[in-house]
Amino acid sequence: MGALQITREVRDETLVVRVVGDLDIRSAGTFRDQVDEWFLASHHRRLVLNLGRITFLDSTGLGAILGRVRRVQAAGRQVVLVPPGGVARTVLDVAALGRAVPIYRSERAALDEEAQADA
Amino acid sequence: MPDAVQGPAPVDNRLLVEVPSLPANAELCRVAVAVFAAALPFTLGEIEQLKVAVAEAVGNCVLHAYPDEPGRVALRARFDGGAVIVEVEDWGLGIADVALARQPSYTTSTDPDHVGLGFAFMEQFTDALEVVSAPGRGTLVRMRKRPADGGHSRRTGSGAAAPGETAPQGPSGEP
Repeated sequence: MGALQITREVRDETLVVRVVGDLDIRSAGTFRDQVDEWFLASHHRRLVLNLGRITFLDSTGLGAILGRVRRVQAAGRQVVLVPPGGVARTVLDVAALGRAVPIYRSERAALDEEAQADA
Repeated sequence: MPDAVQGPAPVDNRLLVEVPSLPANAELCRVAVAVFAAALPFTLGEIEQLKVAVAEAVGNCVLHAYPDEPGRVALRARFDGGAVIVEVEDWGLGIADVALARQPSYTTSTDPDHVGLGFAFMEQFTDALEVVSAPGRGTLVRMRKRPADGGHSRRTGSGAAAPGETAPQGPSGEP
């Protein structure tokens, strides 16, 4: 268990958002508003959502992740995920997110992929 | 000769918590059940699964039973034959068609972020799920979970898969 912390880092045209702690019914709204403000209201072309340090995920948190993916893609921009481990990964997989979004095993891999794509 | 020694069998313990249906109490309830259930030989992954199931049940009270203002939620837990039984009860709006509400992806919400998977997770992460509800009277959710190693369980997933490992796909469907 842990309070949600969200941080961002800009890498060229990519915005990396790192989510640490519990993404649940209590914190999903904060996550939604923060990502929308940082990414949708910006000019970044690509969003790397690093969920690798999520400690708890419920259906509300899952919905907030799915909602961000839909909105980013609807805006014609790209989003990729670094998934959490354990049961949070199972929760993520129930929504078959892997079909809608590229999933990378690490943030490094997600960023390297982008460097190659841009080359 | 036993290869492992377990602690004493759980005593006839019981848990009763009554809280208002605030989002923060979904965490309080899931943590309370996790501590309570740890008297049985659950893996950490199984405890995490139980926490998600409880969080979904309490989350339904917050979002659906009492959509306008917080109401009363009762959380009960007990042991039965090596399993833990968890009940989450509210006296809120109730559900007119329980079978429909239990369908994966069914939601009454107009919020586009609501995925309607609460019951699907309760079902996937426990061994048995019962839902009793009447419109205007409230809802009782009863879940049962047994440690996979504590018997001949059909469940093999510990839920503690490392990142990148394949996890079980999709909700388990209607019973």
